[in-house]
Amino acid sequence: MSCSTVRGILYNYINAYVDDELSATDRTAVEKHFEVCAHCANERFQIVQMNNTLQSEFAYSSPYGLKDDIKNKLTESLEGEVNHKKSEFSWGWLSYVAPPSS
Amino acid sequence: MDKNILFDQFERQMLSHMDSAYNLARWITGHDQDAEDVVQEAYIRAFRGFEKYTDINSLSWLLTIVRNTSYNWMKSKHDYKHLIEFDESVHSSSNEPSFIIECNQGLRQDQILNTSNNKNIIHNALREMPLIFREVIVLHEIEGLSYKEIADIVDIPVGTVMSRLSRGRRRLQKTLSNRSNRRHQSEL
Repeated sequence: MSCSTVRGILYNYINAYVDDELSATDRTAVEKHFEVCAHCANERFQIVQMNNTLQSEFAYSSPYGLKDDIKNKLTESLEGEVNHKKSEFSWGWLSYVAPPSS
Repeated sequence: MDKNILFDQFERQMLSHMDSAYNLARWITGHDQDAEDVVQEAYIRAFRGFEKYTDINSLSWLLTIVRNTSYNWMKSKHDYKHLIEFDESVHSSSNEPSFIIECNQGLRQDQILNTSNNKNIIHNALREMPLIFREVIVLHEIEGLSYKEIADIVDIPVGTVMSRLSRGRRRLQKTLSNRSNRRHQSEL
């Protein structure tokens, strides 16, 4: 296994530690490693800082009026379905009496 | 079930997730108007499937539909540039950031991050990042979803979520570090 592969795995573990996605055993092992490894402790610090920035700054807010637009579309869709069913019911009998088109 | 009752249930359970739906669509499509159209279409699709919906996690269910609708939307607009699958040979190698990011002399990363200019740099870096990394970062960092929830939405193993997330973050850190170092050198 190459150094970059090992480093990649280790970096994944630091990320998973920050995200609270490790098992209790792995979490304890990573914490012990932080106590003796300044590089990894610094990586952890950088990831936390980056996460804080992303969480607070980068969410797009939905535009004003979108909720009403969605409701209108849903209502149209609902009415469309009802009308389609009514239409099938009301005019379906015509196929039995109308002459077939040539 | 009566359609109007279903409609009320849908509105109660799903419309509260509208901001998350818009945010994901906006980050995938890259445009305000496209995101609005995608979200409207996704909600109509979701409503059509709502009668059979049994998922406990309504947010994950809705975001799966939003993601699929976004991808279909981009394909229909022939926007293949952003849909290109990640290619290890093209996107890795020398472009892949190293394990330890060297920060600018005298500046810690939190100090670098806390300037509006650098927030713009990170924003742009995220916007230009390959979609496979961008979507997991948005779902995790901004929407706060777990690895398992992201794995379900993107339909990949949990281990792949972990790996994409860490590689995406590394790219952001590297971009930030490069820009800061470049600026520091130009100021000398």
